[in-house]
Amino acid sequence: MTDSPRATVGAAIARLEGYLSAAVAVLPVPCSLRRFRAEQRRSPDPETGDYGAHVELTRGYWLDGIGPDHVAACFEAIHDHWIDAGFVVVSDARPDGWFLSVANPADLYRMSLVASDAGTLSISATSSRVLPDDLAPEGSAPTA
Amino acid sequence: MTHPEESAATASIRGAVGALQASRQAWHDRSGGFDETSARHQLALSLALAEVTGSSGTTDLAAIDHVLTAVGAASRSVRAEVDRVFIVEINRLRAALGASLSPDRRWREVSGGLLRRQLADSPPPGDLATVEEIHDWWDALSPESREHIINGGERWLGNVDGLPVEVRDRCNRLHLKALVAGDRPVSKRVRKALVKLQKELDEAREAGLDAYLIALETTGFGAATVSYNNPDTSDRVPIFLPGGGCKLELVDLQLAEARNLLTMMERLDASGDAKPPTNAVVLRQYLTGKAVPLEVLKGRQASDITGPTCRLLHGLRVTHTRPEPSYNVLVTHSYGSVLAGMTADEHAISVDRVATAGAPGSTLDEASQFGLPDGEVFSGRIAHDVLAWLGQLGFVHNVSLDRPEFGAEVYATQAGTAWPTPGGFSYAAHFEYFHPESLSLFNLAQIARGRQPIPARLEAVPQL
Repeated sequence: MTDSPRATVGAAIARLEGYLSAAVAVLPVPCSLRRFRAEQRRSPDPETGDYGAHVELTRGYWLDGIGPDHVAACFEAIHDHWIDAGFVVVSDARPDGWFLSVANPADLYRMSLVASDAGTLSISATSSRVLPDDLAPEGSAPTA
Repeated sequence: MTHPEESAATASIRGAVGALQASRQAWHDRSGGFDETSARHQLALSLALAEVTGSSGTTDLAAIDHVLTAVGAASRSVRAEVDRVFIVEINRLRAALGASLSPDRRWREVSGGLLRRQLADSPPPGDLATVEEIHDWWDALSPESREHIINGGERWLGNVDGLPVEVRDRCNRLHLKALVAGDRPVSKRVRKALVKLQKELDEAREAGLDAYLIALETTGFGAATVSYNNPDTSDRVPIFLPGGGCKLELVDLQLAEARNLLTMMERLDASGDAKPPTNAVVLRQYLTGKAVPLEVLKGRQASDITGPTCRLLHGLRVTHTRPEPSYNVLVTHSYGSVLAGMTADEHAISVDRVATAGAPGSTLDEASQFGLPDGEVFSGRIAHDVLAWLGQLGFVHNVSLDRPEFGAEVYATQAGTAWPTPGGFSYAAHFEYFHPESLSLFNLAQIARGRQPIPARLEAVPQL
């Protein structure tokens, strides 16, 4: 998965957080976010397998304060939001499991929503391949 | 009261166990691993005889005849039949004996070094020591002796299965530090990878993750075994065996996959105020030496990998400290899946489940040969994964794991990245099983938690 060659880490983080905030905003019940993951790792070129400077980033949050009774409604709300926002569903495990995964065809960012056995919700997003900020091509705008 | 037939059964089993023990020296002398066919068949026969005569006091001649027929021949199909009927019992006995394990080639060096140090309170067991014997020896040492040994500079001590993971970590970090500093010889390429490994371990600490360096090899391309959280004290321990591109310079990428699995398990475990089970994920890299892709795919390097892998799995059982055994699952990707089958075939795998992802095939004929109860072998294939697809067609190894005749439980995955090829097959899809937002990872995490994954829908093999 390649993104714009001008994409940078700084812009990718902003985009990830924006996607996550927008999804949480549509939840039918209030919740607080608690981060469980923030990392970046090397990302090989999918066509050549070469390991250049590109990385991909992941951000994940627990959605605290949502009871198990609201899991189904939350899944439905976020599913509808993602469709409206132009994401496509990659996997929807319902009703066999509480797992939903989408991808954005425009930038190839991917997101997932999971409910634990006890009904605890978590949301996560992963960028496509981006360049570290200090390696962005000269004169490029830091867009993801 | 002891039933006369029960005594005969016990004697029969004891005889078979004796045969296994007697073959240990033969294993040790064989450079390419040991062929246990004979011992396996003897034990199967003894168990079968014990079974048909022991419990009821009567003899089922038809059953004995069936078993004799099966055991008497060494053809692959007959061996599979024996395995199907008896493998669980065989593995249980072999694991109890520690007898299924090839001797640790590093232990010979370590024990020799320790003997030269003239340990006061307890000399180390000999070259052929089992994991249990090594564990018992360490257990009996005084705290002072343990510290003396850890700080003594035996460079391969940290690789020895049977020692507690915390001890191995301390030893290997000392070794790693010396290697990175240039105090010990290593190739330029491996040293560069070791620096990367050191960085990963440092970053894990900064991120609040407990990381343990369980093994370190510096020959060839180098290899590391690293655990997030301590498997000796965890409730669940998935052991991740990556693909044929396994080398130390890829350790950061494969550790990221291990972290992805751990994180998904935690997402599924979360339970508010209640304390969830503890998970430790072990990345097991292995030495591939001078990897030639075709040779790797044909499994010709496997003999140096299967024995140590078997020993690691067994060692994790032995050093576990909780009252209840941990739930251990071998999670494999690509060629790691082939190796898992070879390990089960040549030795035994002391795990509760096997979950393969993107396997290019298997040298086994059916899932039962993993030696696990029915329903505990899982297979997943991303639809656009070109390597797994070739495996399904039987181009690489003789059997595909996700064909019904193999007998694995096939779990659902996402479609994966499609390239503009016939069928959309891509190399990229082969590396998407552990993507943080993927259904394949969700299902692998469910399997590692002892839950049932979402089953795959039946689909036809795409045709070019």
